[in-house]
This record gives sequence, structure tokens and C-alpha cells, in this order.
Amino acid sequence: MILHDLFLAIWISFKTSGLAALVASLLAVPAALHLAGNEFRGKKAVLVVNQTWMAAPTVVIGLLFYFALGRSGPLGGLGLLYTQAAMTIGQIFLILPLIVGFSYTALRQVDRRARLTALALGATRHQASRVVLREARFPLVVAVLAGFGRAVSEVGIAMMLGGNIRGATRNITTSIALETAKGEFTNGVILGAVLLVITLGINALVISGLRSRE
Amino acid sequence: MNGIGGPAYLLEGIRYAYPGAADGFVFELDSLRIEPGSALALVGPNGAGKTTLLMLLALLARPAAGRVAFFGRDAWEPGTNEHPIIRRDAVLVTHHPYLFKGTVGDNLAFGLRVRGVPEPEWADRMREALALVELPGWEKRQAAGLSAGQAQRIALARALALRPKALLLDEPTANIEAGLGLRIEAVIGESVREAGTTIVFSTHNFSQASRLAGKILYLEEGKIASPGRFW
Amino acid sequence: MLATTTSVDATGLLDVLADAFKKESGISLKWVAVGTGAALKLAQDGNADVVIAHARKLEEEFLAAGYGVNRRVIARNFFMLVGPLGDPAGAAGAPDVKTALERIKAAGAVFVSRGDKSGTHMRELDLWALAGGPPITNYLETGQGMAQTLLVASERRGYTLTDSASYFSLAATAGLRSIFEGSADLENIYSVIAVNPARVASARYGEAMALIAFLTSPRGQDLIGSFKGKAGRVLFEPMAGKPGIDRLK
Repeated sequence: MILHDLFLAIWISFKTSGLAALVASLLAVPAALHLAGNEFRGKKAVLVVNQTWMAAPTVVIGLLFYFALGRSGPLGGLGLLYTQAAMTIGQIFLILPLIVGFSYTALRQVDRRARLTALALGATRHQASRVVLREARFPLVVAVLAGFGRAVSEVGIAMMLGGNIRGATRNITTSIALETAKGEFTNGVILGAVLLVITLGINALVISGLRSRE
Repeated sequence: MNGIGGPAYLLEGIRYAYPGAADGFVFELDSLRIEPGSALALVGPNGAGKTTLLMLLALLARPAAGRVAFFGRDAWEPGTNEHPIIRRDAVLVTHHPYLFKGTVGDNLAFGLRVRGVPEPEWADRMREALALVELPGWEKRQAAGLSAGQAQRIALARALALRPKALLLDEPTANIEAGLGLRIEAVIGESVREAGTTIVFSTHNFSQASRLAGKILYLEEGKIASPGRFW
Repeated sequence: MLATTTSVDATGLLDVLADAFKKESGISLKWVAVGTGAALKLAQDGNADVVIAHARKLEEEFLAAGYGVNRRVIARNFFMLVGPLGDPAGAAGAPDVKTALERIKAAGAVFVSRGDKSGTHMRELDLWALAGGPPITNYLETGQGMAQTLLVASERRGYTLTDSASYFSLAATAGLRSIFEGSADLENIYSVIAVNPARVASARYGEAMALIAFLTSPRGQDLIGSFKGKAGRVLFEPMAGKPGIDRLK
């Protein structure tokens, strides 16, 4: 396997999954903040839905968006299928509940007095929310990393929505699938090792980050 | 310094329902007037409503009925409370204060930052405030792991640095031992005389109440124990 | 074990042939469908006993290296250049493949390639050589089979080279139409080769030869020639036994 292809695949993995983690976090953290700070009817239902959503298989998500984004689907006019954008969109959908769940837990653990203290010292509601986020910054970073880890190691969505096009939508995981199907086991192993290093590294950060909460 | 301009606080017809209390406990206040630059002590058993009243005065709790006027402005008139933020002039120090993660300096700077006080002024203000609570030079210390008394003093310094018009203190010397406690009282008293700050504080200590306060309010079960209007 | 091209498998032809072969000889045929390049490699590694391929150059190398014996041509169809209904590169009216490809390259249009050393891929590269090489931009390599490649072409509104059997029998072709077909350099010859037992010890030579015999027999050829599959039209033209057909230039 050409070294150039290897680096391209790694770059594409980081780019698509990184963007997915970023966008998903921008949506998930405010949602988690709202959930953590408020009680309302149906809150339990929301949490249950989030939990269930987390269990969605990647191929099912891939299938769903395949039909939605394909030319004959409702969003077909955008021509997104088999592009990096499609991969990112699918992965956002995958990791959103994960980040919401982790962030919610992190924010619940922030002392309730933090917000009140901020307000008592003259913060606006927004400033007070920022204080709460800052007090939980380590576990929140951990949550985002966990989301990224999940996205970068999945293959169902990347394959179905990306099409495994060399240099465009062929990332680490789809490369592994391809090389293995071609019988090029050496290449598959090399890619697998790279992915393992990345995900184990992230996992180590996540676990040590969670531990240091105590 | 009484009667210059209007009252610092004027509360009328207040009814406040505790959130989550089913039928429950309600705080009622017919009327309360607090003059600027005066010191008011709240005394009564636990659960009588001292903290609630302080929260109402800090403009952090909204009454279900009634009017809270702070230096002549209706605090809960639509649009008033956030812009401009009138509750910045009333700072509450809670009974078990919460210190933000980071250093003592970070904590003291918080209020200054959200008000947009220019950074060059921060150092002086922080030094002044820490000197008053007898913790000079503590700016760089980590806020975690302090004793209850130290935390309470830091929280007080945090409020003093902001030079608010009204200072609301929930049991300000509860965790501070006697001698130091008296000196802190003196600091609070100073702030009334020198700066004209309006002070409302709760306490279990009757002698403290008489020493510091010009007036004492007795609270019991969510109401003022002495009936009728209280001026 | 047969290693075959994806087009022969995806159309369903192999299912029909395998059934009939089993009935006649009692031998069960197992197969994997990969590109010609991968198929020949599998055979070399001893993972296949017989190969069906459609890339003359690769087949010649295979035979020359002594891995294969007894190559017999069995069928033929044609490659086609297909593309989006709107034909943005204006390639449809071209007089020959070379011009059509040049127009596609000049327009910077999307072109989807198999990119997998399959027979189709090899022919595609040969044709691009006529036009000065494949495009630099918008040249998408899927590395996968014809079905996936056609899907990508359809979704990304691009051009691609396909064999006629795949084009007419795969559902992936909505949104595509024929842009250029019919010239001699688009002829697509399928042949079957037995793995040489002298080079690859594990090769089941006897069964391989039985398959070759079946495929080139009148019955086998008849099945190939009448196979319609999903398309409702004949996809392969039987070629075995035509004089000189097995001769390699």
C-alpha cells in the first residue's frame, strides 16, 4: 500500500470524524446543560430516548441516511451521498446521544451552588451557564473525546455513506475492510495497528480523565 | 445615613412558594422597608425563612406575588432583571459558600470580570478585600481544600471586592472562631459606616445581632414574628 | 474453488451454470467473485483451482509464468462508456472512445473507476492511455465491484466504464445512460483457465478440467447464450469453439 494512501486515509478519518465530534458537541453540550439544569415533564422520557439511541447499530444509521441522502431520497437534491459530508452527517447522528449522555453526567456532578454563586456575584444567566461548563471542563472534554473515539472507529456508516472512494472517502476503517477483502492482509494489519493506537490512546485519556474526577 | 433619597429596599405583599414543596411552606411578608446604609439582622430558628428572605433581597428568588423595589426600581418588572442587571448591586454570601475551581484570585476576579471592571483595577481591589478578611497575599492559593472558616472569609472578600450597594450575608461568622469573628464583624460594620453599604444578615447569635444591627427582624415559619408592618 | 470476475457472478449467470454443472457432473462449484487481478492472485496463492477472467494482458502473464494452463474462451460481451443523463461533457456524440474520454477529461467531469485491477479496470486504463492518461481531478476510485462503482457514478453524476452484462442487469444504473458503445476496442472476452498442478500443488486439476469441458460444451455454451437474468435480455455471447478464438496474439 502506498504510503501516500495511508496518510490520506488517516487524514480523512481525522477530518470527517473530527468534524462530526465538533458539530455533535456543539449540539450536545447545550442540550445536556439544559437537561442537567432543569426538571420538566417528559425529562425522563428524553433520557430514555437518548439511552436507546446510543444503542443504534451503525449499519442501521448508515442505511437510514443512505436512503435519505441518495438521489431518489428526500435530500437527494443535495448530492451528498458518497461524499465526506455524508460520512460526517451519519457520524454526528451516531455520537450525538453519546456526548449528551456523558455531558449530562458531568454537568449533574457540578455543585448546584456553582450556578447560584455565579448569579449572586452578578453573572447574567449566560455567564452563569459558562461558569457551570467551566467547572465541568475536564469531564466535558472527556465526553467529546469519547464521541470522537466512537466515530473514528466505526465502519458501517463510513462505508455505506462514503462509498470507500480512494483519496476522498476511504478512511482508516474502510481501508481495512477493502485491503482485507483484497487479501492484502499486511496492509490491513498496518492500518489496524494505526487505528488501535489512536483509539487506545483516546481511551486511555478518557479513562484517566474520568478517574481524575475524584 | 438614613432617609437620603428613597429606601434601599421596599417589599410589599410578598408571597413566595418554595419550589418542590407540595402544598407546603410559604413565605409571607406584608411589608418591609430598609433604609440605605442601615444594618438589619434576621433572627429566628432554622427553616424560619431567613435564607429565603435573603434570596428575595438578593433578587435571586422571585416572589409569586408582591413587589420588590430596590433603590426605587421594581426588580421584577419585565426586562428589569437582566438588562441592565440591577441585582449586581445586591451581593449575597451564602451560608456554606461555594468557591470556584482555580485560585483564590480567580474567585475574587469573577465578580469583577462579569461586571467589566477594567483589569488593572483588579489587583488593588483583591488586595484590599483579602486584607479586610485577614488573608493577605492569598491570591495565588488554590481555592480547594480550605477550611470552612477560610472559605467563608474568601467568599466575604469576593463580595467586598465588588463594593455593592447592598450586602446580604447568611450567617457570616458561623464558621469563624470568636476572636477572628469579632474582627470580621468590625469589618462588616465599617463597610456600613464608611461606604454606606446597606447590610442585611442572618445570625443565631443575639449579641452579634445587637452589636451590628440597627434593627432586628424576628422570623418564624415563613413570617415575621412581630405582627403588622415593620419599619 | 473458482475465482471469478464480479460481472459473471453479479448477473446471476454463475448460479445457473453451477446448478447445471452439479447435475451433470456431481461436482459442487464454490466461488468467490473478485476483480480479475485479485482472482489470478488467489489462484497463484493456491486459494483457487480455476479462474474466469476477462483481462487479456493479466491472463497472458499468468500463463507465461506457468501458473495457468488450458485457457479457453467462453463468452463475450462489450464494455460501454456510461454517464449522467445530462452528459455535461458532451461525450455522447463522439466518433470514438478516445474522443469521448478526451472530452470527459477536458470538461473536468467526474469519472468513476473500479480502481481494483479488475478486467474492467485494466481496459479502462488502456483506453485512458489513448487519451493521454486518466484525469487528475474528479477521478474517483472505488476499489470495489461494478455494482458499487455504478452506484457511485449514478449518485455523483459521473461517467464510468462498465461491461454490458453488469449495466443491463444491475439496479444501480438509474440516472445513467449509455454514452458510447460498439467500437472494436470495447470488446470484452471472458475466458476460463485451469490452475497448473505442476506449479500449485493443491490445485484440483481434474475438477477444474471438468468445469472447463462443461463450459465449452454445447450445453454449457447454450446456457451462456440464452441467459437473460434480471435484464430480460441476453448478456453474454457464447464464443467457445470459434476458429482461432483461443489463440493469443
